[in-house]
Amino acid sequence: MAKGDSLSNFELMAMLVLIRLEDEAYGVPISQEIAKQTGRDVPVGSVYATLERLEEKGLVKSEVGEPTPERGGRAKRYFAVTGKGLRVIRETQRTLIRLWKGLPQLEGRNV
Amino acid sequence: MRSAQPPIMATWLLTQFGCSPNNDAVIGDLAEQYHQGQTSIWYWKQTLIAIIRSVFREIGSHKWLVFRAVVVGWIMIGLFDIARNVQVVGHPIVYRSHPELQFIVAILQIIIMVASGWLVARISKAHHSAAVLLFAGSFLFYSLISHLAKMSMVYALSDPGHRSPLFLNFLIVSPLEAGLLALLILKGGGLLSTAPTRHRSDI
Repeated sequence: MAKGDSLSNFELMAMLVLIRLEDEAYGVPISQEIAKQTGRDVPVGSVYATLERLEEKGLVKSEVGEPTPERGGRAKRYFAVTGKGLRVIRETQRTLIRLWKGLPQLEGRNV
Repeated sequence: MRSAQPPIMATWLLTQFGCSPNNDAVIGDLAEQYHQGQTSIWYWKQTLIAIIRSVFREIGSHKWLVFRAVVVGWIMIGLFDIARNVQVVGHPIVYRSHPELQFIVAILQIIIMVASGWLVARISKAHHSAAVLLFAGSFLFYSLISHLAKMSMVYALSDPGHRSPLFLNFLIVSPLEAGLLALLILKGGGLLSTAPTRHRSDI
């Protein structure tokens, strides 16, 4: 993994949600899915700030979608994880699993 | 009763001050969630967070460009302040006895504020919203702090019988003046237009 490609907790969550939502990954379902999985309200502005940062790193790409009347005629922006993004997620997963192994404090149900 | 449309003022603020290249999509997402049943308070909260996050992200991503633009704006205001203090306010008796002189200085100050906002916007180019907001915010902060310092000093030195008019000036007039000057900076920087704003994604 190249320097600068390491992911924060929220960045990793956002990318996993993009994969989970597939073709429906725009601001509203992304923030709702993160809220559902984490149990806390996630501001749309924070979601976009994170996705824009990931897009600058080349881990996420986006395209403009269709405008709808309930959005005041404003277009949606759909996000998707790039090939580089998927490689970084896999590498992060491997690193976390390596770190997880052999820690007796984190084993069992009473943690 | 809950309005059918999202709060107009909040949407206007986000349109004017939101610095995200995806600002239109953010506004659309908030409108969609409002129509799904979210409250006006929720909408306002989301709007303010979206503005603050986008401004800080923009400043963080282009620190030097924004910093350079704000410094140039401050130099312009500083030079005007020095010239005014030396030429006009430095001769208080002449200044006070000539209302037309006070009027000219006030007009010059308005021009300088608008011009400094314009200059900051020109230097910071595509990131002008964040730079102009930071510049106007720093000006407002500095003005209020300096008024507070002056107020404390005058209070300590003044005769107790003459404090009321002084307080009226320091508590109401001076902050209002600072706020108006900050608005002029925003106007000069192109942030208070009614026309649709262009975003990076449109360029």
